[in-house]
Amino acid sequence: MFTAAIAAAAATTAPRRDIASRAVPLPPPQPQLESAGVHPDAALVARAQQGQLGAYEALYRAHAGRVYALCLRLSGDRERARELTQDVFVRAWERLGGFAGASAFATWLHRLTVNLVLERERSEGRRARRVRFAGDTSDDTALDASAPPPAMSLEERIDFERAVATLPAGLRTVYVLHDIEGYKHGEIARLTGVAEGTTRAQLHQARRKLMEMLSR
Amino acid sequence: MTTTHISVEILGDYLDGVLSDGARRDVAAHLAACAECGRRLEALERLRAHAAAAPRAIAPPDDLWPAIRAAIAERKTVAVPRAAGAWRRPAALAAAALLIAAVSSLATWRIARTRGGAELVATAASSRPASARGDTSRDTNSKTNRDTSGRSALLRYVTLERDYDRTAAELRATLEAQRATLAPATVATVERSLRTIDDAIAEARAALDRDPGNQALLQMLTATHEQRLDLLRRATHIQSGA
Repeated sequence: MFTAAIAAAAATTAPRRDIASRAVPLPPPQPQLESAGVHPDAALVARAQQGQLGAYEALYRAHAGRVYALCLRLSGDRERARELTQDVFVRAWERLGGFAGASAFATWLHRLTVNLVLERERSEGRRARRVRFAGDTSDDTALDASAPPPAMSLEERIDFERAVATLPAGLRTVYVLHDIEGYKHGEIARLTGVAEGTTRAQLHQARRKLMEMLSR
Repeated sequence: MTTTHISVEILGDYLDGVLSDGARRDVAAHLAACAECGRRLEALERLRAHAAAAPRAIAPPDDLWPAIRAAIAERKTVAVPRAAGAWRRPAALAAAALLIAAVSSLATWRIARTRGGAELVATAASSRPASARGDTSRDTNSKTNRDTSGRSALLRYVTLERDYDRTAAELRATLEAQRATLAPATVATVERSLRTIDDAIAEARAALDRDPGNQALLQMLTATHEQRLDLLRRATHIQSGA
């Protein structure tokens, strides 16, 4: 099911010294936090807070891709991600009046997205959904249109995204938030309402499953 | 001879940099000698690389904005929702509009009659006017400053006025989109209320044209614009048949 490229890559062995030297921890990926004091959307937010839908549409255009990507990975379902993205922007509009600008709009929207997705997951039950992340060409195209990462084929990227989408909901949430979005365990525990030790165990379990899937 | 391998959990912690120095040294020593654990570490590293390279933004499959805009209109929500309560009632809106218009008209009349409404503001800002201290040069400077301040305030207002009008137009468009879902009586009341406020703004604007330096008029106009926006926001929050 998954491509031979992953298995072939997994079979390569680097020299031991190289492995030891690479054991220095990489900086974790960061959530899209704002640069100190720079809030590039401030003017648009101010106009949107006055009720200007045009300004809010501009904010949507700027942030829809980020929100959709987060919804897609957290839900593991393309249609669900569309619905969630719409709900996020409707809720953000409703709550925009309470946004005081202490953080960047992107950060505020990111938190709102995570909270809404997790809230829906809890309220609607973590029912198993048929995963359709890379099941059609439109998602492949979407991935292709995004910023291409270095030294990683489109096929590998699709395999990775599909594997993440296949994870059980609890594991997927922790993996996406920690390894992709850069959240700390304490924060994930607070967001998901489970113990920090549990999120650590779930992260390891998710990584183990992904390694298995990607090495097939 | 059996070899004990390092668990994926420990290898993950090793890569995450959360192991103690001692444990970290032990893992590094083991990795230097164990090919199997080296391969597993590499697999973990590849996974990390995938996660790091995963695109942070993925374009939605289609444009979701029309649906979002429709949902906003359908729910009759506004960017600054407030506890609507009594404001949902058309009669309350109408009463508020009339009150705003009455206060605005009275204020316009009084301010326009007070030659130099700017002085009202300037006096309020200074408890001891320069003239009261017999300091004529300061008095002249004070007047010059007031004139400059008046021009700046007028420029600020003209800029603000464009924003107010644009915002009001947006809200009117939202209201128009909701028209079909509102009771006809409600629509009529809202439109009548808006006309009343518009007239009040026009009256004050005409007074400002005759006396451009009148800061009190500027303040009142700004407040009336705010009230109109507030009324529009509340109006777009009315539930059908409320």
